[in-house]
Amino acid sequence: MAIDVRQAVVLGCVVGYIALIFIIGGFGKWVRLKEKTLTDYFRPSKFAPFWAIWFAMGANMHTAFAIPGSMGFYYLHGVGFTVHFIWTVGTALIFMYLVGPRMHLLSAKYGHVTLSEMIGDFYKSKWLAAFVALFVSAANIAYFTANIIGPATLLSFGTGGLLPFDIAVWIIVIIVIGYTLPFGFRGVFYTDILQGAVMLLATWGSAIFMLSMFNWNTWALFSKAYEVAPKHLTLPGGAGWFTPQMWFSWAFFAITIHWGIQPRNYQYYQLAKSAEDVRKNALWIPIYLSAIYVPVVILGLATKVLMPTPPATGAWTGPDAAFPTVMAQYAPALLWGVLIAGSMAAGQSTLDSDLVAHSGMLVNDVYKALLKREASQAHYLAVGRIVVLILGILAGYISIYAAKLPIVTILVGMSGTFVMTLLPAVLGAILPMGKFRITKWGAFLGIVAGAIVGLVTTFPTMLGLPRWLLNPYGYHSALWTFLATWIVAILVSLVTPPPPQDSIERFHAFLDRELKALYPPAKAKA
Amino acid sequence: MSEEKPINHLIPWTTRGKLLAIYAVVFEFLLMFVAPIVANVPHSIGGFPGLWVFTNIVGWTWIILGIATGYMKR
Repeated sequence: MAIDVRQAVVLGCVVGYIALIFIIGGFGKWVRLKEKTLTDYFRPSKFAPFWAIWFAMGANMHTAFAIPGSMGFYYLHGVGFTVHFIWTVGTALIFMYLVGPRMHLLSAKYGHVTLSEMIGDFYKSKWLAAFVALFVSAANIAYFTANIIGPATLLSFGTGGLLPFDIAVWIIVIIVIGYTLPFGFRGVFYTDILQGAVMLLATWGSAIFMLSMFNWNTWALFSKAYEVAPKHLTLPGGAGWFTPQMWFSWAFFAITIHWGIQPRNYQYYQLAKSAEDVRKNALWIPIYLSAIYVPVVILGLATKVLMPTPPATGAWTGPDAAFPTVMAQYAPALLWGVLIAGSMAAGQSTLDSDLVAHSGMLVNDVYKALLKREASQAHYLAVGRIVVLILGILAGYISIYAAKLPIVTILVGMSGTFVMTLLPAVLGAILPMGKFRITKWGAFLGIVAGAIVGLVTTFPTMLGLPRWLLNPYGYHSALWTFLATWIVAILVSLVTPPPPQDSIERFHAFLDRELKALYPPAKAKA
Repeated sequence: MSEEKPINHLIPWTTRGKLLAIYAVVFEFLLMFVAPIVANVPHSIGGFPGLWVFTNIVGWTWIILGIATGYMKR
């Protein structure tokens, strides 16, 4: 097959991006393990400067939805997507600010490697830790695949089919395995810094180009968009999705909460040199998280003006294909290549941390805690690498199989909802609530109840239930999941034995002392 | 620590902690409940939608106030 200049430039950008990834994350002494231990592989700690965490964690938190998903979303729905401020700011300034420094202090004190280990330690239950590890890993498999399918589709499309979708999937997966398998979370961290930069370059570069097509006149762009698609400039938007009920129940309950307590974030909280750095990161990271979405308004609306109806024929069809089709047609080859590399960066920067964080939970809290308790660190490290490899290959395999199934989109939404059900278990461990205590059974049954309600309100017809159970009364299933989780967690906690006094002393009293020493209350200072 | 004196702090309860908690309530309320009402305001300035302007002002103001408060004296 002959390669034209445009394809060659795109391939050159992709190869350049891959080369940079391996220069930063594949060879240097900075990524090598300092100790050949399970902890250093899955949860290295206290070495990363604040600015680098800010950049890397921002890339890690943004999934492939950032590129190209959000452009398709804007194209379909319009300015309702500015709802993202609910999660790009709310997640950080509410949840990350609250949980991040506490998780950092506890891990530094007691050596927790994973989120599930921390939960199991507080509730004195290895079974609960193992359950959380297995439950979250199963739930997040969809998230893994979403971070492969989007970029792989764009990579295949961008090279004009030169790289078939299947091959694009394996390129994306093998690169990630290439730097996570040897170096664990250090490989994740250093490559995420680069990927964060590439993502900003791709989104802002594309937006600047798009704006140039409207003579640098944002006003003209909005006015033209209003002529072409007036519904896109108000609610409920072009597809009628953003009803008042869905506006807040989707953005807050389905995204904001899980984003702050994802296992991959737990690993990131430990990289900081101090709890104060974790706190500062929570203050500053909304700038990165929101800045990725600022140019999307230009990309989404400009695409709507240039291509009012989505492509119905060709290699890629539907609303998600509109923006790439416009860019393929109009953008300079170099920018088009950077955008495709940016999409790979968006997906890989989440996939890598997910791979390592979930492998860490499976090895540390299932294999090591329950199956093989007395083995050498070398053994656990080897098993850890094998699990990273298996999960990576599994995610690639599912991505190819599931690429044609619309259910994948739904499952991505479910995975966040499932992770949200951990909130009572997490807050019960790290946040004193007066005399009330979340108990082991409250945490466990809250997760179970939330998962059941989440499934029923997302897949009612598949379960043979009435259709009205889908997002009942117009509110997103995540809201009902949240209510079920907390109601069950609280009621069960009221009638079951509280966590042992030792846990209260080691967690709540310890955090109380540490935080009051770090941040003395105003009256104490006076 | 004893059962009679439960630990009940939140952030802990420093002045900036209180301010950040107030911002969280106020700004999340504006984004979650007021923004959909603003969306129905007629587009009086060419094509510029009230919803887009409103959510951007609220979102970025919250970010700036959060950072400023985070660095103030406790």
